[in-house]
Amino acid sequence: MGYILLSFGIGLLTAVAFYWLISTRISSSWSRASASHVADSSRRLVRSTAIVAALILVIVALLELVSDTVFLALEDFQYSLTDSAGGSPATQTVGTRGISWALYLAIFVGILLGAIAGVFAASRKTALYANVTPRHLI
Amino acid sequence: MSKLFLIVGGGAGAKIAEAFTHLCAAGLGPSEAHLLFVDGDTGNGNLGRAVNTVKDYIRLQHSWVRAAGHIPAFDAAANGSAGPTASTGRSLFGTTLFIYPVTDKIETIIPGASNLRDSLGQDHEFADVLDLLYDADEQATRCEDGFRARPNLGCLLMSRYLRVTLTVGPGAAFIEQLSGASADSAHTRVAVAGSIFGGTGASMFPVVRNAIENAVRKHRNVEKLDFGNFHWCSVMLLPYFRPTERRDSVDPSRSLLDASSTLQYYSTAGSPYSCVYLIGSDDPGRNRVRPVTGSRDQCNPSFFEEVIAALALLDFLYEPEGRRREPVRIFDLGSTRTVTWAALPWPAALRPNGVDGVAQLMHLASFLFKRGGAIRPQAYEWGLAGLLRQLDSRALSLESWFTKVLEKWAEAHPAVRNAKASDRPALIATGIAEQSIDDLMPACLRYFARLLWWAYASALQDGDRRDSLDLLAFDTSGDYVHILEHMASVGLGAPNGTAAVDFSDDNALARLLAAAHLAMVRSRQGHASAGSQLLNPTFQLWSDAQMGGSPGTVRLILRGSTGHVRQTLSDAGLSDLSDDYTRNQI
Repeated sequence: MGYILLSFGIGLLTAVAFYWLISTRISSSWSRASASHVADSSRRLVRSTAIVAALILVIVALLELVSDTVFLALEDFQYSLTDSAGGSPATQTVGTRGISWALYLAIFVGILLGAIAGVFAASRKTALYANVTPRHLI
Repeated sequence: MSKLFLIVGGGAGAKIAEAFTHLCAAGLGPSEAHLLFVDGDTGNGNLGRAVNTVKDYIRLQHSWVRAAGHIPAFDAAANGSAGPTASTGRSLFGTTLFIYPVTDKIETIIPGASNLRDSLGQDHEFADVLDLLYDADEQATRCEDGFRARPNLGCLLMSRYLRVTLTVGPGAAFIEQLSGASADSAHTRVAVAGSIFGGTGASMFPVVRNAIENAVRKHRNVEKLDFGNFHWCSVMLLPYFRPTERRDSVDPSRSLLDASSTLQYYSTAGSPYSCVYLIGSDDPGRNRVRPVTGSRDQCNPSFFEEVIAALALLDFLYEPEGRRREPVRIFDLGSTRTVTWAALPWPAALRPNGVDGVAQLMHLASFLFKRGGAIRPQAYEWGLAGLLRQLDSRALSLESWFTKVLEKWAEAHPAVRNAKASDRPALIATGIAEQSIDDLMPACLRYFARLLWWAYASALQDGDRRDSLDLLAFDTSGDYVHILEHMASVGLGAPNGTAAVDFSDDNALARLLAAAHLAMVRSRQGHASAGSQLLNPTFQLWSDAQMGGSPGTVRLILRGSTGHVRQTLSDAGLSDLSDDYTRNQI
C-alpha cells in the first residue's frame, strides 16, 4: 500500500510538472505547431524522461548493492513508508545487502504514468490537440 | 424566392456578370439568377473568363449547399444568433446560377456578315452611307471581334442575331425559363448590362428587349402578350478604361465622343427600360489596357467600375415592388473621393451586413490559399489547401479540426468505416469517389483563385493606379489559426447511425469549407468552446489596427497574398489560370 501511495504521489507531481511544461509550450513555441508535431515531441519528452528516470534508478540500485550507507538508508525509508501506510518492504536480498525493486518500480511507474497523464491533460485542454491520446505518447 | 434574369453583352458585359457572380458567392444575390451571355466574339477572353467563373461557382455551390445546409447565414454575427434562424436567411453561395452562353459567330447566324462591309455594303445605297460614316479599317473590322466602338449600325446586326439565337439552344432555354417565371410571378426582373463604347453591348441595348419579348411570344405561341409584369433595367458602362494607343478601329481619343453619340442615339430611339444605371469614370486613363479588338486577347483585368455595375444590379433586384424611384440613379462619392466599403452603394436590403458577406468570402478564399514557412513546427501558418497537401494521413488523423468535421460523416461510407483510424484521412482525401477532397479541389481552387485575382485587380489600393480606392490589403505575417481552432470545436451534422446514406452532391472539401465559414462566424463572436480551451478565440474580420472605426470604413486585410494563390495553383497544376487576369494588364 505504501508503494502505491508513493507511486501515486510521484505521479501526481510529475503530472503537474508535465502539464505546466506542455501548456507553456503550446502557448508559446508550439502555438502554430501541428497536432502530430505536438504528439511526436511530447512522446519524445515522455520517453526521454522515462529513460533518464530508469538510468538514475539503475545507478541507485547499483549503489545500493555496493554501499551499506545507501542500502540501510533505503531500508529505513521503506520501513517508514510501510509502517505509515501499511504493507512491508519488498527487497530482493543479494549477499549482505539487497535491491529495493518495489521502490524502484513504484517510482518509475509513477513518473511514467504521471508524465503521460500530464501531457494528455494539457493537450486535451486545447481544442486543436484534443486528438492526442496516451497511445500517441508511448 | 427572388429571381433575376440578367442579359449581358460583349466583353464588358461579361465582366459585369463576373462581378455579379462573386457578389452572389458572398451571399448578396437572389435565390436564383439566369445569366444570358450574348457575344458573337466566340473566343473573347473576357467572355471565356466569366463563363468559366460561373461554371466553377456552380460546381462548388452544389456541394457547398449540401454541406452547409444548417450553417448560419453570414449575418448571424450581427444578430448574435449562430443557428439557422438568422433574420435574412442568406448564406455564402446562396444563389443558384444558370448560364446560357449565346456565342455563335455572327457570320454563322447571318450569312455573309463577316464584317460591316460584307453584311450591309452589297446594297449600293447602304454602301454610300457606310463610306460616309466609316473609314476602310472600320468597315473591314470583323464582326466577331468585339471591340469595334461603333454601335449604331451594330444594332441592325444584333437584332437579326438575337431573333435567331433566342429560338435555339441556350437562348431558347433562357426564354423558356423567363416565360415560366413571368407566368408564375407578379414581377419578373430583367436586367441588361454591358458597355456602350464597344460593339456587342452597345448594339444590344436598344434592341434586346424587343427581341426577348418577341421570343417569349413565339415560345408561348401567342400573337399578343401583356408584359406589364416585366421590370426592365439597364446597367450601362461608359468609358472607364483607356487603351494605350490607337490600333485598327480602336481609337482612345474618340471614346468619350463616341459614348456621347451613343447616348444621344439611345435618347432619340427611346428607352425601353424603366430605369437606367450609368456607370462612368472621371478619369478613364486611370485604367489602362493594351488595345485589342477582340478574341482571346481581349481579356482585360477587372476594374472597380464593374463592381459598381454589379451593385447596380443588386439595387435593382432589391428595389421594393411598387416603389417609385427616379429612373436615372446616380452614385456619387462626394467630396472625400475615397472609396471605402461603407461608401459603396449597397442596396438598403443589404445594409448593414452586406459588407460582412464579402469580407467572409474573401477571408475564406485567403484561408484556402494561405502559405506558411517550413511545415514543422509552424503548420498552422498554412491554410487549408497547404495543410491538406502536406500533412500525411496519420498526421491528419491527429488534427481535431479534420476529424471533428469529417470523421462521423465519412464513417457512413463503408470503405471508411472499415479502415484503420490512421488510414481514414487518406481515404477521405482520394478514396471515396465524388465525395473525396480531391474531386472538388480543382474547382474549388479555380473559383477562389478567380475571386482573389478579380478582387486584387479591382479593389487593391495601388498608388500608381488607384489613388481613390482603399479597400483591400494583404498581411502575410498573420494566419488563420483562429479558424482552425474553432473548426476543432464544432462539427457538421453527421448521418444518423450507419444506415444507407445519400452522398449525392456531398463532398468532404465542401464540408471543410462550410465548417471553416461557421468557425469564422463563431470566432468573430468570440464563442467559447465547451470543454476545450481556445488559444486564439477571437478572429478579427476587419483590420485590428483600424477597428476604431465601423467595419465598413476600414480596409479588409487578408492573411494570404496573390503570391500564395500563384504558388498553390502551381502545386495543383493550374498555374495558367492567372494569365486570364494578367494577360492584358499594364
